[in-house]
Amino acid sequence: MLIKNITLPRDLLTLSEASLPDQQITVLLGPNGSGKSTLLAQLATQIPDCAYLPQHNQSYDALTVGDLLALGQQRAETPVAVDVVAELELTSLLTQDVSQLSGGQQQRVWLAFILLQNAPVILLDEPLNALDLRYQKRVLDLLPQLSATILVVVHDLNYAYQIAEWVWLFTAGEITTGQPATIMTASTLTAAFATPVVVDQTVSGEVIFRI
Amino acid sequence: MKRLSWWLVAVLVAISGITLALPLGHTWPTPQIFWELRVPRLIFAILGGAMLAASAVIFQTTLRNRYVDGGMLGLASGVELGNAVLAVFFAPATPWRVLTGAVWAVVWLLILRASMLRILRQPLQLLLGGLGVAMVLNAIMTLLTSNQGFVGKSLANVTVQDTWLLAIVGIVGIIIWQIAGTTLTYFALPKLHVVQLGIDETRLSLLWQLGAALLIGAVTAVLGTTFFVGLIIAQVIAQVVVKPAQNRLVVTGLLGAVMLSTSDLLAHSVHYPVELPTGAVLMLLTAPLLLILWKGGPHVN
Repeated sequence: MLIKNITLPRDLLTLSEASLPDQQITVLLGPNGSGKSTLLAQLATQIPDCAYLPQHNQSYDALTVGDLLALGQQRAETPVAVDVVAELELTSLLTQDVSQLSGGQQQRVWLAFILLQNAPVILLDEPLNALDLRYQKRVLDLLPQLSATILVVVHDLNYAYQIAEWVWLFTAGEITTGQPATIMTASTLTAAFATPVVVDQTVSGEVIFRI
Repeated sequence: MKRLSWWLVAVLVAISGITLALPLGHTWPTPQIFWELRVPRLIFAILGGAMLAASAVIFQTTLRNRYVDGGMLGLASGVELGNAVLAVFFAPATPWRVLTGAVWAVVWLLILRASMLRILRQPLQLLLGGLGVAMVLNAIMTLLTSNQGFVGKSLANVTVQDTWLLAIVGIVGIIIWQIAGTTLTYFALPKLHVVQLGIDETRLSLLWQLGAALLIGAVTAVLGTTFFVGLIIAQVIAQVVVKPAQNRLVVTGLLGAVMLSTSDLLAHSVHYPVELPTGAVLMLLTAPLLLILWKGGPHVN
């Protein structure tokens, strides 16, 4: 999928068009303030059939989890192939008010709200925020099962490497794209984050990033 | 919520009975006083209170701001100014003040949507902006009507025509509510999500707010501007009944009806034969409800 005429503040990022591999997971990596969220918000306005999860979400009135998820499902022309509610363990929360939940619970609810829309393009801005390891793993398992083109902002390099099929890396206002193995090298990551990043490989071939 | 609704209905019935039958000045109401003064006045108080409170719920929900109502946005002051201009320059319109009030409210709403509501998005900004507009409009009205011999706003001068016009506006509000269906729930979501769900929020909010403006405009034409009242009543119910705004409309309307009918009963009976301004009594009665909000503390959104 080629997205043209991207307009972003020039001091943030030089980018006029970008391509997302269809039905694959693209991870967006970059330092704080590099324009990741701005880009996602911009793409959300340019891709009308996308579902976009911003970093911060809140309900403005009393709303149960069940009602919120039903609103998300309304948009889906066909139901999602995966049981998102079960995968994110939301069944016991369905009757509770969204605003009364903990931060991690709310994040799971809003993520489910987005995924239930069964949109062909999904933009997720730091979906792992406030999620504990258990649910980070659930999301890791869940996203590849969706038949959607996914662009996700992640800060954990190990997690990014595990989930990514394609990577966009922001470095000093420039963006480089490619396969994870090509883009996520010690030198490129060190340059992008202005912090030494070490990439190790175990005897079993597993790649590990550390600082 | 049902129990609270029934309790409010019971209180309303009791207040209505007292209002209709209360002997004032040691005399029982004559049939003429009963049918031409007390009944229309009571109906106006019940409908008006419900409409005042329901309009606050709608404005708070569609603007995603729990600190506003028709008074705080300047709409009520706009209605008073508009009707004062009509009274000064076209006195024959005065008997139709409820209808003209509703129309003025719609005009001011459209002006606000094209200006203030588009620019001021932060809750506090909107609150201060609305109060600023209200103060300016109030000042203009005061200057315009000084030495004109205008009497203060009160339900004491409610006419039969006021009451049936209010009922018509109320019915229009109910029709808009039925057309809009359960869509008030969408405003619990951030605007971004509503847009992505394929909902035209601008049109939807216009529909709801037009209905709310009609309600507040019609009531204000007779009652006058009552700052904070709708806001507080709507928030008290929102705190007591944790249900979506759509489900709170009726019970909030009932509390509004109880508050205004009680205020009006006190306004015309406490210091008889002197009539107190109903709006002032209403604001006085509503103030203690603030304690419920303060008690809620950080839980109040």
